[in-house]
Amino acid sequence: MPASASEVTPGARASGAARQGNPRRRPALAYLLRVAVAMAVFYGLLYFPYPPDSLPVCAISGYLRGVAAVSAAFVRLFDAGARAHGDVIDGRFSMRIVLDCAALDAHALLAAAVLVFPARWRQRIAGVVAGTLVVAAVNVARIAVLYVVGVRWPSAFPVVHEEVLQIAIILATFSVFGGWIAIVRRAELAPAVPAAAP
Amino acid sequence: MTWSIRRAAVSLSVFLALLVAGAWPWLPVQRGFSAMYCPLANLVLAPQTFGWGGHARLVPLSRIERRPGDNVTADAVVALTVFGWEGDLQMGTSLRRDVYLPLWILIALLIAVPLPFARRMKALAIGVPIMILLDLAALELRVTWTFAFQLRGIYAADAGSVWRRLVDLAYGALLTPPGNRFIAPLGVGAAIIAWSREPRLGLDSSPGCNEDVTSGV
Repeated sequence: MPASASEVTPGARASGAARQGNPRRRPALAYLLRVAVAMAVFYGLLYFPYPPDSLPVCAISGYLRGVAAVSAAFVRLFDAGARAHGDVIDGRFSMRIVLDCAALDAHALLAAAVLVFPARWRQRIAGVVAGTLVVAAVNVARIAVLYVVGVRWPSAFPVVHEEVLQIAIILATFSVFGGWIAIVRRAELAPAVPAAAP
Repeated sequence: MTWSIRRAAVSLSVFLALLVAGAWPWLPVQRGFSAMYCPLANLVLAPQTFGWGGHARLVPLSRIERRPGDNVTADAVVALTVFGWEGDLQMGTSLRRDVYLPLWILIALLIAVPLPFARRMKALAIGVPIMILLDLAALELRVTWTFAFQLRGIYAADAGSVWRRLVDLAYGALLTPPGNRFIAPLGVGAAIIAWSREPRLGLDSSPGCNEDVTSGV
């Protein structure tokens, strides 16, 4: 006897959906597509060729000066003479913090991945805020490491700058995202706290 | 398939080991890759005409160095020529950074993730050409942007045209962020893995759905 509609199990429904090309067949692919769209939006906002002295340019410049100041404070652990002057870190080695140094691509990636993930909005907001802080801290550490490499092993600076630490910060961003997913899943699987007896 | 902590740790270790081994800056590998990739890229790049008489070729360098005026340690140059003009404009480029490393990241990822052999081979057969196509598209965009914004007379200098704005935005958003070249292979790899099999990412809260999707693997 053929199964009635009410007897179809969720698994059978998904299987049928898979055969019929239903988008539900590939939730992970659909999720990746949403991440790509969100990243495109963030990238459009961050990297749009704004006119000079416009508000976004001023805001990004301010952020770069902030990154330089925090990084210089961190670099002083290794070189007491290091100082930030605007977006330049000066000391035994000199570095200018430009747009590429701000890890905005990593921030955009994390924000996009977290914001479109199927979790509660409170968890997503917390994920973006905490994740952004972690990625920013990793970036400050990256700049400090670059400073030390520039002072001690200047010939290795290009490889470390353009390849090693770029890969490292992207992998760190993926790790932060993975850690956030683990936290969200653990919260979902945790047993609900029973209501207190009257 | 359930991603236990142990399995994830093994996959991560394999990925990192492969990454370090393949990304080590061996000069012969870098030279060999450049010599191999340039003719391939030129199959697409060389026959094209950009704007009014602009042409481009990718030329491998036998000496890997940071040349004056370049902001990378170049293993190849993009040589731009314009019909009717002598000489060329050479822009140093690091194929190791822009092509080889992203490709290697993708390969390491697809080897490290636990997949049956046949699916792994299929994933590599799909992923590697996609990455090469993305790299060629990036090269095409770089050449187009250079002709449009760094040289005069190749494209109409109408700064307000939608096309120029789009090229500028695409260049700024896709080629300027240094992390993109390493995000792309991880994104492509994730998409291929997701296409190949649905890992339990908690993307669908319906228990039956996840069980069904993974049981056929």
